[in-house]
Amino acid sequence: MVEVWFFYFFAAIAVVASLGVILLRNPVAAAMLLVVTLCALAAEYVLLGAEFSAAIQVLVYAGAIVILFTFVIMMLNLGQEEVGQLAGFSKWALLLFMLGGAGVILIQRLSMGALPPGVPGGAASDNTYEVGMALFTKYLWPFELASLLILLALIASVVIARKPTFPSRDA
Amino acid sequence: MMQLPVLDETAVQIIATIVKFLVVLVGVLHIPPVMIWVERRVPALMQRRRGPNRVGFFKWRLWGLLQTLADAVKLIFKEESVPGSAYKGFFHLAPLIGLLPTLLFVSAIPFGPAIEIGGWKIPLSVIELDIGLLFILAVTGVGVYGVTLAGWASNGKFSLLGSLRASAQMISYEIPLGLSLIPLVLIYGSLNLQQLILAQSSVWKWGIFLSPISFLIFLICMFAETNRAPFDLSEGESELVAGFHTEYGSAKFALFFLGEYVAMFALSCLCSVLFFGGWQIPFVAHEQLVSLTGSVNIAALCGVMALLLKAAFFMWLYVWVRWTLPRFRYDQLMKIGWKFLLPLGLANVCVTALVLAALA
Repeated sequence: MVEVWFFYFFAAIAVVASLGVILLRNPVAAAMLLVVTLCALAAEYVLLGAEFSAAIQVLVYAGAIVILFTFVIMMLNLGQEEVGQLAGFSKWALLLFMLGGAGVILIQRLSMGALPPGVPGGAASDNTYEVGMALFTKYLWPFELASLLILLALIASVVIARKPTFPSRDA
Repeated sequence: MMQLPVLDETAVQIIATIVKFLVVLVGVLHIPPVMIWVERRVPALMQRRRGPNRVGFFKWRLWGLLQTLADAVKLIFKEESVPGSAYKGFFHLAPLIGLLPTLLFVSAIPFGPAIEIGGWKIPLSVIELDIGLLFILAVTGVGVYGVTLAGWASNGKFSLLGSLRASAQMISYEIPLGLSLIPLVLIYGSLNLQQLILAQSSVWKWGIFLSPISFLIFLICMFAETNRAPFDLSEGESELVAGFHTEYGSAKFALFFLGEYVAMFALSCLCSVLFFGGWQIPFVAHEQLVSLTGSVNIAALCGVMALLLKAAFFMWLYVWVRWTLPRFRYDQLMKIGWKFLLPLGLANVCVTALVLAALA
């Protein structure tokens, strides 16, 4: 039973923090709340017995991606005023959009009927092993193709970030 | 007479975790004063100076050991100033955000084999995790935020430049750090730190002998991750005053130092765990020790002392290197990280995997 209360606790944190991410004007505060959201989600993964995913979640998203966001915000030194101008659409549209999304999920959930009982996760020590086995046997091709896609994106971003090369005068 | 409540496994472990957490917290709080003393006396020895040697009780001077106590008292009672243009909330939060991940890091370190109290087996790490190594990597990843936020929230040139340097450096060196750990996971086949220690059952199976290149990369990243010399560009005094903590004073300044020294201690412990057999005493098997001392707990205590001694060596190394090597230039720093350590780390992973596959 304790787990259920922990679940609601972290779920509440995740929901409130993610609301803050989209509603706050201060970009750094929004980025920090994104970190809080991601960590709360990682805690939920731990409760679900997926420790590996939880660690990777914090490692990749909170530890690398959001840090790059904050880095860009700091480099551009966006003050609160500039971002205020960026957010051009009204809060009511946002609210309507969110309620609509929640409604869609609710309708879908209701139309499914009772969910099948959850499958208990494997023993914690098997967690990493299970993920590895799934990735390198059953899902080998999707996994490899995805890594190829990421490699392409990496090369593309390097090409875009490089200064445009002009033909040199000697040529 | 009051009847003692019957304890079950969960209750015992919860109580044990709280006690262990308090012990580690209090222990860790004692590291910075001692280290600051070492960091003043050791360079004094190296440079034929005396160093602080006056503060003491009446005529007992205790080699100036009480100087750091006086400094701590001074830092706590100093008036605190906040720059007018600072982002107040983050300015106050940043030192804490910086400290929290390092404390989590220390709590994942297994300081010794499990002890037995009243028939209950209690592991000697605050949180025992099967994915310990990943947890530590995740936590060091989050550790960048303290530095980043401190510099940004101070809203000054020196602070911002210092924190930009520090965060770029920490992100860059996290990648080789992670890569240096993969060969060890491949060799020992576990992410659990306790299992990693047990797998290094004899001296010749220590990580430093089985994967020396990993050790080299890890050692370099260890210095870079803690922003210590020769990688202390984030606070380069001659150009940035003090870097990201320029605007901080009194207790908050002390918190940054606490964070730095705790991070050093945590990485020193991790280095001993991964490459030097953790709490195992060289050439003495744990079972031998148990039969020799006749108690699991005394043997475990010896293990804890062994780990702390190994970690102390690396703490000493930090000081030694700081007073021996000059600071890198920033482009050199980035070049080492991305053009030397990263390819070396990748090659190391590939070669280790190939060798293991050939041996299997």
